[in-house]
Amino acid sequence: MTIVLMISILVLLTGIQAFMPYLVRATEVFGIYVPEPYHQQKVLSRLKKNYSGLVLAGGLLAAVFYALAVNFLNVQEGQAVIWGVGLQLGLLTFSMALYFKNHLKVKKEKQEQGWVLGKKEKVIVDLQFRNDLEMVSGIAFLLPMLITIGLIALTLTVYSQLPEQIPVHWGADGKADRFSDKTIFSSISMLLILLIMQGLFYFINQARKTSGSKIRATQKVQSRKRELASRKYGSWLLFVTSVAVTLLLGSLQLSLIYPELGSSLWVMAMTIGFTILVLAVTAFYTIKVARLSASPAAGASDPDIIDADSDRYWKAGIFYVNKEDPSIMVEKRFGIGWTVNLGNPKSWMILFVPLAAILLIAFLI
Amino acid sequence: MFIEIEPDSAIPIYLQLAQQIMEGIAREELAPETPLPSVRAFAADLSMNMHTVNKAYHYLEEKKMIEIIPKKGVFIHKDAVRSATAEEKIRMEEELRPILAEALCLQISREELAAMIEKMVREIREGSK
Repeated sequence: MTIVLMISILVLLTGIQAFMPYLVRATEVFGIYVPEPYHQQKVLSRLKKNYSGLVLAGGLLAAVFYALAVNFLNVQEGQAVIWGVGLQLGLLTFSMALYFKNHLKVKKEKQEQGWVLGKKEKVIVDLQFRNDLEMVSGIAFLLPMLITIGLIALTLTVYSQLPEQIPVHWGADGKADRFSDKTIFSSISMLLILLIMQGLFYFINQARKTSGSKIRATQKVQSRKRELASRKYGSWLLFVTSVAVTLLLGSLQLSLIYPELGSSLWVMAMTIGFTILVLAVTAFYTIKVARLSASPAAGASDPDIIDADSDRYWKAGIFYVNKEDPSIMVEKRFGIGWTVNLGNPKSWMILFVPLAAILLIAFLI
Repeated sequence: MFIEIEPDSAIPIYLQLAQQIMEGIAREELAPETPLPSVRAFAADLSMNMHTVNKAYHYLEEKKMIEIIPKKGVFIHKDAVRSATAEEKIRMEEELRPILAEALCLQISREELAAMIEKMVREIREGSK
């Protein structure tokens, strides 16, 4: 079971990493802004194909190698998990190294060919953009928090009936494999972590509401649609994740209070269901947004107009650092989803406050 | 309505913002009491400092083109389209004077100036450049 899980994650990861150049905005090639019509150049499509091929080959080779090795060498399950995670990390490192190589290549190409030289930069703002924004409301994100608070109250009222050992970690088979002595804190620690995560989801959603819309000067109508879609489906994804995490951790907590509810099979089914649900919604989000990211028929636009070139704010095409921009969250250039504006102190809060709080809880129990 | 800013232009960005909003009002694309984006959201959309948007909004507020209502937001002024007061006419004259002086230096005739005004009014109405 664990092996199958490890291999599916590896294959899935390979697929996502390999097709990344085709899922992101067409005018952002390996983290570099490439204006129309240059993004359709042969050099670039060859780089993309090359990248995809290498990552696919590497990932699938690793998966086959892993399956064979685990089968024939009789590797223990614990060892197999470590090797599996190691291979996944290896694949990520490999694809990132390839990405960076191509990033530098496109950067050089851009300078040499002068893709932005002598062009007129334009920044587009739609005054109605935020009226047409359809995101899940902040209140909806507060509802799962009520469930958590209710569960905390329930746990504390039946505190004396709880077992003396509180499970704090579960194995892949759904059985608890690490325990902590019963204290008021350890009995609700999982719910506290849940509450922090729900709070984080709430803040991320709020931050995206005021995140800047990146409407392209040459494709105003289509890129506006894309910006609206990435916010709408992004907030659905966030909300489904919040509900799914609540269901998962909430039911684990219920199985602690009512042991007759929580067989290990049930825990495992919940975890797998959770993973599949989140992956499915992520895929839905990716497809919806990627469809609008592709470049529409070129040629209709003015070739002398380009978007504002913000390459200097994108360190390595991955980290966004812009002190002027009040956005907390921005969409990634190379990758699915969002990243934070490291030039804004509030982003550091979103990064470190929840992390510190969760680590603190983990150390205290 | 789309606002198009040219960061490298000689015209300061806050003026570009203000002028385009004013053109929107003039052609009635931005009706009185239409809400405008918050300073933070507008600046994020521009990826620029909030100060720039603030400056544009205050410039328009001074001209009574928009209203900034604390805790509610920014709106096109309900009297944005109005008959000018005597003071406003004097201010317009003051602002036009240096431009006319330059036109006289460049020997642009009154007929040509009238034709220019005609053309620009039409362009503002149509929303073209």
